[in-house]
Amino acid sequence: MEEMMKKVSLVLLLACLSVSMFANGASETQKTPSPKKDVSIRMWTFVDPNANGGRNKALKQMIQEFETDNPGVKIAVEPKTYSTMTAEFLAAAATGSAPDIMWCSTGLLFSCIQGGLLEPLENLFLKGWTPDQIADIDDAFFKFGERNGKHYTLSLSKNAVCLYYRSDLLKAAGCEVPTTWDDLYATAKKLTNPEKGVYGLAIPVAKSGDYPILTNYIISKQGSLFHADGTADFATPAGVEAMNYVKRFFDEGITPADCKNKDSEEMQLEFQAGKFAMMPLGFVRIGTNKAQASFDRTTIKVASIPTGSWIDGWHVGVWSGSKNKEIAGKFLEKMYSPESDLLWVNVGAQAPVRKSTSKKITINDDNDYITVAGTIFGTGYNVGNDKSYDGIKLSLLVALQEVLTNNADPLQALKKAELDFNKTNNR
Amino acid sequence: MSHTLSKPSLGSRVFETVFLIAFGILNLIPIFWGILTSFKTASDISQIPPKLFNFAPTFVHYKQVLDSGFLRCVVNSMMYCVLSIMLTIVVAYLAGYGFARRNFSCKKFLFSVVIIGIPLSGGSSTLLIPNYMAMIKMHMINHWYTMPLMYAAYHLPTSIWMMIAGVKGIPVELEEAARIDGVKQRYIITKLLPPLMLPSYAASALLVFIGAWNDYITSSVMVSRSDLKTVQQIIYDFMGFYGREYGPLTASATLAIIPIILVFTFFGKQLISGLTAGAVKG
Amino acid sequence: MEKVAFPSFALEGKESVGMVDNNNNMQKSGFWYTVPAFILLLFFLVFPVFNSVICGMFQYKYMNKGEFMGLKNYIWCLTDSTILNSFKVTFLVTLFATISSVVIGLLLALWIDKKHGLFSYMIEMVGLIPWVISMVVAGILWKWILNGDIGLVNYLCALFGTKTVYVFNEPKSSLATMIFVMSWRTVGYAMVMLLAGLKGLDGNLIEASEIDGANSWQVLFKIKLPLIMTNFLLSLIVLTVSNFTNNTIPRVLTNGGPANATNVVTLQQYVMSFEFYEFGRSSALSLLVMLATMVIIYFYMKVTKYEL
Repeated sequence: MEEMMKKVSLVLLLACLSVSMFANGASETQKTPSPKKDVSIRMWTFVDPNANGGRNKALKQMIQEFETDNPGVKIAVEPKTYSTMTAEFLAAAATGSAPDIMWCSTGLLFSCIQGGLLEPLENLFLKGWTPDQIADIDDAFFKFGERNGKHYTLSLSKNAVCLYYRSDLLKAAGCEVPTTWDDLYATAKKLTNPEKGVYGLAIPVAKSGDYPILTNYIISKQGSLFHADGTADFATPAGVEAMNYVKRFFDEGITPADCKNKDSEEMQLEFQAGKFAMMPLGFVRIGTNKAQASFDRTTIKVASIPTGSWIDGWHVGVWSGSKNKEIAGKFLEKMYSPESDLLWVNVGAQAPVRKSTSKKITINDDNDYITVAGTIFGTGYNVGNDKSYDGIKLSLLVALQEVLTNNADPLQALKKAELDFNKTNNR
Repeated sequence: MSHTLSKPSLGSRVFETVFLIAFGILNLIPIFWGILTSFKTASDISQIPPKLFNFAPTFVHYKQVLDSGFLRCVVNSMMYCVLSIMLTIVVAYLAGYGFARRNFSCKKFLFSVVIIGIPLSGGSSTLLIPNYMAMIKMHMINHWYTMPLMYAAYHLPTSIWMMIAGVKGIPVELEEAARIDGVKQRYIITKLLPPLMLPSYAASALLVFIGAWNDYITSSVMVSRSDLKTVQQIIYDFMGFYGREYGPLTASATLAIIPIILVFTFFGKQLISGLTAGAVKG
Repeated sequence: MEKVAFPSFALEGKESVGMVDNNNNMQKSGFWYTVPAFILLLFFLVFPVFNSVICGMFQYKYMNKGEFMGLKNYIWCLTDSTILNSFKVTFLVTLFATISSVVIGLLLALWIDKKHGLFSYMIEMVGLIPWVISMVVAGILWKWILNGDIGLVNYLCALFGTKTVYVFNEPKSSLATMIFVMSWRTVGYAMVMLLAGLKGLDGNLIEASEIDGANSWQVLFKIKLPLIMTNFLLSLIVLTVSNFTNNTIPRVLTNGGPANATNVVTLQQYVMSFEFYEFGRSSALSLLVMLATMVIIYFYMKVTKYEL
């Protein structure tokens, strides 16, 4: 009995020690201030400067230039998985070990700003910029990172879901690039040729597909997807009309039935194989699609989706708890400089982040998407960063799948989508 | 080997062999397709209908993969595997011995903890976030010892079970005789039993190796330094934010299978006998 | 704790050591052999689980602890229609995938048992390959292969002169395909386990029973199966748990399938954690999943203990 008590108490002691370490709460990080000569700035991103690839090399060059210009400063990039790194940032910030510079995802920016995790850039370098310089970067992305007059992020790797199309197929059918919903339908119908295995428009309805056809249609008819208080406003006449609009593509065979559970990845592979004439996809993926195209790659072009594109991308900010905010801000400024922008475009094959850059690039048949980028990003749309808007995609796409596979009533499906969305966001 | 007296008919023999061969082929289809794709040029990869053999093979993806620091990741993964295996075997063996040969008061309770741990082995997502937050607090992420510790912990429950059965399979008279001869307990544990426990060690090692080599989600969250990256992380790099590059993806996945196939070829017999030694009753 | 059935080998220590009476200290010292293991298990398995339990009692959004919810999260998990549907799907998938792999594995094992040498060894190796390769890559490749246009399915259909098939856009065929891929992954493992058990059987016993007039079915069910019951049990447990907690294949293959037809619990959990960032609810859900697997394991052990 005594032995047992001894062992039990030992285990309990261990348990208590560990529980106290695991307690859910902010911990005190005991950092003994060591007078370091070298300052190390940590940055979390998915772009690994040591990897092979255009944008990786571009980033590496920026880092090298910065370190040469600022002796004693080292930029330490920790490459992370893009889908989970922002959540990890939130967790790390809670324990005081977040990186100095963070590339935040669109969906979580709200939480980062809400939690006071990002330093207003006005406190750092932005206050020294002239109005001209600010105008050069002022677009939907710049506005997206703003709250109460302060800007918390600058966007890199700007992305927007736009319409990819095959210029050769459009030309052969005598069609113009569609700019309205009716145009989109008519063009897609004209380009559909099941005998040859070509379909006018791909609509990926799987949970990880792209949703702008549905959402943009609703927005174009009723102005917004949400009420003023942030609750979902899907189950409306515009919503039902949008559902029926998409359903028509499937019913008439303009979009093949196997798209009912297709995700973006598979859709891209099929587009590259020549199955689709048009598809909605993020702008940044044009490089891979051109590389793997089984046809002439210069025929892949992009345009805005009718009534505007959903913007996405990465919003880079400085952690408010960083010990080296000024220097971190300087590097952010460096990544956004006109010279770096040229690097991003020429070496990294990205869209320019500054309006002035597109004038400095030679445009040819293969990279003319750069000129369109300006328009697409300028008029881009996204829900604000003042509330959480998780799961728009999920709830709407599941509703669409219900309508397409189980013949559900569109209004009922949309009502359920509203409920799911509100529940997820605690509204 | 169990025999049957009656000889099966030729028809059923042929049927069996055909079925077995079909089984073999079915198992290998994805690997075959993956390897095939890794040798196609980017534009040959997406074709309707797909190209089976009518393409010009190329090594460009393999070159890209190797240029991306693939070998460094292989070394890292190997190191994690070896360290985890060593740690798991030692710790599980000791625990297994304790359970098999000793009777102590909280034995049943502790053993139920082991049983509860079995569904969690393999790093299910139940554990990912709490582990991550705990490791951050203790500043234990991004070190060379981070992954071996975690892999060892995840595979302990099943390894302990195997070790228990392995120890049971050794007749206790051996130990008793040694003790009567005056041999110390430490010698029994470290010199006498281990050679007889090799099948269990091999089976446990194999489980840990496969689990550690193929793990992605845990290592991606816990380790993010370029010099500590694992093999799976670099494979996943080709499924990045900018799109999936199937050429390098399949090339790196093909290269990543090679060590597993090698382990099989050389240690296959031990693996199988060890896998099942843990299951055969007493 | 007394009611839990443990495999008998864990508790036989008392008799087999033969040292119950004397040397009580040595007995008690057994505890210390298990300490290193338990330190690791405590830190990496037990405490996170408790942590999860506690997390499950709070409302979490984006890693910020919210209000105390008590058991509300758990109740929510058990009453939400999407989650209940996912449990149903998971049970279906696990049941069919596990049973089909074990049955087919048994068949294969019985056939290979009669062969020996290189052929049998090669089949065993080939059988294990799906189990050991990375699930994500295998899933992606299967998805590609089963694609009606750019996959091998198209090629084969053309070869046989039929129209190509699309398996992923209908709920039923999606489910069947997912069960197929999950079985594909586990058949080899079951086969190897059962084969090893069969190889360990005493041939004389079988011969004797056949001389006594037993036909092959009786030999199979009354003699062979009971003798390899432990292997059978172990493979059932491992495969059930593996299929039940498999997050990767569903996500890569169908991502919940058309209209949640293949939405398994682990997928739902992943979505709750990494797309909705509701760690409170997802912790509650993962605990429920863990309990479910434990119930299944306990059930298996109870059932087969009586036949041992």
